[in-house]
Amino acid sequence: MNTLRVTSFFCVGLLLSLPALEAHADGHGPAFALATPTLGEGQWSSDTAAMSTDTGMGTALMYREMVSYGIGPDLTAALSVPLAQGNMPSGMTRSTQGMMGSDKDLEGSVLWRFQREAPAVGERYESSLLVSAWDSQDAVLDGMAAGQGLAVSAVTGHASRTTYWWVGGGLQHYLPKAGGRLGDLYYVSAVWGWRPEYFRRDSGGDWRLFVEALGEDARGDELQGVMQADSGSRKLLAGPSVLGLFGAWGVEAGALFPVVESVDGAQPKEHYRAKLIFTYWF
Amino acid sequence: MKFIREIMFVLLLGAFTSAQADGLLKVEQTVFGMDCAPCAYGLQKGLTKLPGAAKVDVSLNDGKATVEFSPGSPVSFAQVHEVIVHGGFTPREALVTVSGHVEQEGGRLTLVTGAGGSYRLLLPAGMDAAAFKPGAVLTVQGVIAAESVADAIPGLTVQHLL
Repeated sequence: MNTLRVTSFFCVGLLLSLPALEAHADGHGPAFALATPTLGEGQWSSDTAAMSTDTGMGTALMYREMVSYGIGPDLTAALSVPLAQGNMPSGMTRSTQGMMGSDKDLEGSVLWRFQREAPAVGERYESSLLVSAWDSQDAVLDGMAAGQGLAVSAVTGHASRTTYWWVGGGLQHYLPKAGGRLGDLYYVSAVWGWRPEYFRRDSGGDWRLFVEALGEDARGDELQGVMQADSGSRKLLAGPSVLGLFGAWGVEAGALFPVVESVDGAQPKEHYRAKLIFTYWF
Repeated sequence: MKFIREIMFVLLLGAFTSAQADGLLKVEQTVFGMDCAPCAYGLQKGLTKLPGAAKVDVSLNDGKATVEFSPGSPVSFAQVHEVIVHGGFTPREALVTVSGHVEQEGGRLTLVTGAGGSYRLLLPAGMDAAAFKPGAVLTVQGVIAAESVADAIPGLTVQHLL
């Protein structure tokens, strides 16, 4: 039982330390990295995601649903809720933003595209700001109450009918709760995408390939004012993802693998992160 | 007396039919900033909701949104423009086919539709201006330049008189 608890703790910790980088991917862009696209005014979308990570001590799996609404052409709001959880005990979760939340997290987010320039057909440069807040309700992570949190990130990039790139970064901050506070997370992301010539047509599927990179600096957790030794890490992950678009439907799958990884204390190292997303635009 | 009433009825019917038949007939709008299939899908849905939209086609690769309207559609070009802007895209020049009557104010000719849409007529050099007399009911095809698409009364450079 203890082994399961410890394994679950680390798996959940890893999953939850992932920044919510695709809270507003909305099926347009990469699976993990920050991206700029917003929904059109009055447009709704649904993102259903399955996420997994593995440390060699166990595999964590979770499912979440995100509903997004275009308040205006440059402002999209989203609500993310858990659907179900795989092998993670519900009492050992903590919150993050976006689709990477835990089994009890309720998260709201807003994406504001504050800069937009469209120099040609099928091409645009744009920058967005993403603000998210979540509530883990009564979730407890290994004795520490998972409080509420707030995240702010910024991203800029270029999209065209052939290539795409975005770079961004942000901070994820947890509020103290019951004498403890989960460590902050700083993150940066970069992605480059390519739409093969065969798919540059109006009919049939529209497929894109991405190479994504994600850098994270997770600070240690504090309990009763004492920094916890087995917390905190610095990672650089990279990997491919593929996005298929079929009119109102989209499907995306991707995986990240650690390129550089340094963890504090006796934490297991991460082997991979994987994600599968189904999107529907109403 | 009966003859006069019949004449008046025919004239009224003609006027009514004319008013119903004019309006925006077709818009081929160049759209910048549309890079994905869901973008095109969302725009197509938005344009399809316009009253009188009979056929809508949005080409992602050409960056073009084409809308054909039923005769008498109450839609103005400004409404098409609004759908594109609210979708998060940038409308550029548009090839427009529109039917209406010519009005003149000062030296300016304007094509006015029954639904209240107005287009400032710009006649290129060499085009016979005689057909554009005030009161004339015309169907014209022309280009609205990118700089003019957001104007309340966009300038329509006439290419063809249909």
